Amino acid sequence: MSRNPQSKEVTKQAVLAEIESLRQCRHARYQTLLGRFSRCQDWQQAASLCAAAVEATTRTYNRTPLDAPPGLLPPVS
Amino acid sequence: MGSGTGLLIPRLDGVSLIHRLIADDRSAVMLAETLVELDVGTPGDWKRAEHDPTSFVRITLDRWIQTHGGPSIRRRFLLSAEISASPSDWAEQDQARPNRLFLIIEPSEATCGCANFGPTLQMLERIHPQLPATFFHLFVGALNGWLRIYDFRDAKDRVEMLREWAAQEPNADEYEIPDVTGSIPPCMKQEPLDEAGLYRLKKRITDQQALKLVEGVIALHHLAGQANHSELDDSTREQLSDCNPPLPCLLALFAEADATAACFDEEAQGMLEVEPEPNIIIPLDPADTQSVQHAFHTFGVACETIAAAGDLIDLMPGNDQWIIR
Repeated sequence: MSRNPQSKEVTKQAVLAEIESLRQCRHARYQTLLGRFSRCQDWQQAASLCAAAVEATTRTYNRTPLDAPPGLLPPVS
Repeated sequence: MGSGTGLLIPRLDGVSLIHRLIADDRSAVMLAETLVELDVGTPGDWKRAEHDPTSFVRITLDRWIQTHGGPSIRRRFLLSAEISASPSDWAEQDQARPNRLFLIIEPSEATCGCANFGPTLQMLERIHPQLPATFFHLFVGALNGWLRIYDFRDAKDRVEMLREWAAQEPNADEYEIPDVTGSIPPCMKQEPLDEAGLYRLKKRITDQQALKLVEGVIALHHLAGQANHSELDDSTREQLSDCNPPLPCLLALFAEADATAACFDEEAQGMLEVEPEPNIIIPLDPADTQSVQHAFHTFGVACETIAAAGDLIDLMPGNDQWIIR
């Protein structure tokens, strides 16, 4: 049995209101850290830059400093 | 830690049971909104989709297919439909038009449906010598406007190519090339009837099965023309420039395992060497109600045309073994 047209219209308006809140990022699911990150291009770009910088740093300074043997002075850097 | 002397099972009250990673779904949100506004999407499906726009679009697409001949399509064709940000798996999204989506139909597996026209053509030839060619060309012409059909003309092209390759070999005579021309029924060499001639003939057909076939192919022809998927623009064409031609969705034979089938089997081995272009690509702007309405109308006509072709194959004698489900 189908519901009355008025009830359908109410459901439609409720769904549209919820989608509108999604569109404007007011929906609860976008308020999580991950949700906000996934929609913010500035954050994503900043994260990419940080990741690239860390990778570049790792490549440049990938030597592991060793402790000087007992009785010797540590190397001068 | 448990307390007292008994065992205590840790409880998960208040802990979320489902975690969903949400990628950038702005296009899906816009499309879901437009679909509900247009009444293409059913508001009741929003709950089924667990309030997720991407799932809602998927459910709406499934429902649209179901109400536009889904069961008939699935009986004879292995197709899948999806909405994507790029026109093929290989193509990258056009950054200059981030809001553009594509409704795509392509074979869901590396195989295609099959229809044997031979017994039907024999039956129709007894009614009128030009009726078999008329039926074949109306059927294939209507469906070819939406899906790629592999028929004797593709096979002839393939044979031509094989002959050219073989001619360059020192032992050219040793190559066995399918005799496509010899496998074409003589009735197919007749000129097809024009529309007025076909209508005049239809009134005189007394054989009920033949009449149903003729009525069915006329209906298919008219249905296929109710919409056409517009030409793709230059930027989309550019995105597809490295793709192979679309995979055939139907193999049209004159007899089981005839020369056309042999050519298809041989040619099919290379069809997936490069990503093929989808059969149907309908661009749409999810924020534009007119664009979405046009896209879903076009998609509906495509589905109904494919379904009508499937129903017609059901009526054609000698095609029971090609039913998929």
